[in-house]
Amino acid sequence: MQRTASLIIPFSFILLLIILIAELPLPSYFFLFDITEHNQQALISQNFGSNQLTVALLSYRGMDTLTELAILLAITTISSLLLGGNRRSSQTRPLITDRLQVTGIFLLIPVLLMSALYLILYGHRIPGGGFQGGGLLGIALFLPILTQPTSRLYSELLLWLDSLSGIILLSLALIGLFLFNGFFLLTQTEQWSFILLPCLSFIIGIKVGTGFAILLQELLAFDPDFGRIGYDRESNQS
Amino acid sequence: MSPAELLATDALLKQLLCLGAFGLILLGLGGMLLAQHLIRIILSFGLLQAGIQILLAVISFRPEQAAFLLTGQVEGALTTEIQLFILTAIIINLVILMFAVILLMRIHQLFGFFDKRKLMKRFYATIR
Repeated sequence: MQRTASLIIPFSFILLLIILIAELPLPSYFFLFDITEHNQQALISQNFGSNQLTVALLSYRGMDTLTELAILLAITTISSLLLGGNRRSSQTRPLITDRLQVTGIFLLIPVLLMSALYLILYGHRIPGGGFQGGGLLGIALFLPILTQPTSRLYSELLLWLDSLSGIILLSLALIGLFLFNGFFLLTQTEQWSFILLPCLSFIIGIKVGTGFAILLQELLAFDPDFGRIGYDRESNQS
Repeated sequence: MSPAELLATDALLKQLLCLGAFGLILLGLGGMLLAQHLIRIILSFGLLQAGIQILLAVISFRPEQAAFLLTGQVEGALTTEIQLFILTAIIINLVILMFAVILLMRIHQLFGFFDKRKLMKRFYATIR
């Protein structure tokens, strides 16, 4: 899945670049226009949401958002490539074993998840949004890894969620571009914006959160002594 | 006092933020040029990034045009472009820092040190 996503996303960007270079008919907001006017008239008067930043990130700067997500995907791939061969063995003892700290972490996780979801789902009305909530979500997803032995299922789940949300966002962007004359379906469908904005923020939040969690997990699983002379992988279990 | 009035009266805040941003940029540049330890270079790079982001935020800070969320007025709302740019820059900078840390971990695994001079010596000896 991760490989498929890392193939699909660059190819889609190349496709978009070819379209731009060939000057095929494209919606007008792809070219320079009065952004302030667009902000005040199109975004606010149509009641998309009170937070201009989130609305703009999802509407006329959607290309920018997609590029940021592609960069996140690139760094997760790079981390797997550079550090992946030097993992500790799967039976590694967790980093935190103290009872008090483990209990504290598991008390903290629901609060973190709650605030992350709040930031994501109300990001178009209050300060917040997909990226900010995604950061919190990443911490909430990473904390269990510190206290439990490495779980193959959990890592696979994170990878699947990461790739799936990336593919959904890309397909939504492309469908909106070619069929509805607007990035992320947002320009023509203002009556649906109250449900579309939280949904898009949610997908972006999942993408960012799982991306961060995968990155931190890779960094945690890295074994700096791997490959030294006289090194035994199984005996170095700390 | 409402947030808009507070922003309008407080010109000192802008100057302080500007000074702080330039201080951070100077610290970061100096650290990147002078430090020999690779982790210190990366930390200085982080300081430099923070300084640039604060400077951009100060540039977009206009007391007569407070943020839309603070005042609730659509008329005269601040252009969101610079804030969007900062939001993008924060994420890209985070990714760059992550990449640098990953490279450092590999360098330490391969050579066993964090010293810039030693690393450059190895590098030149390899490409010669």
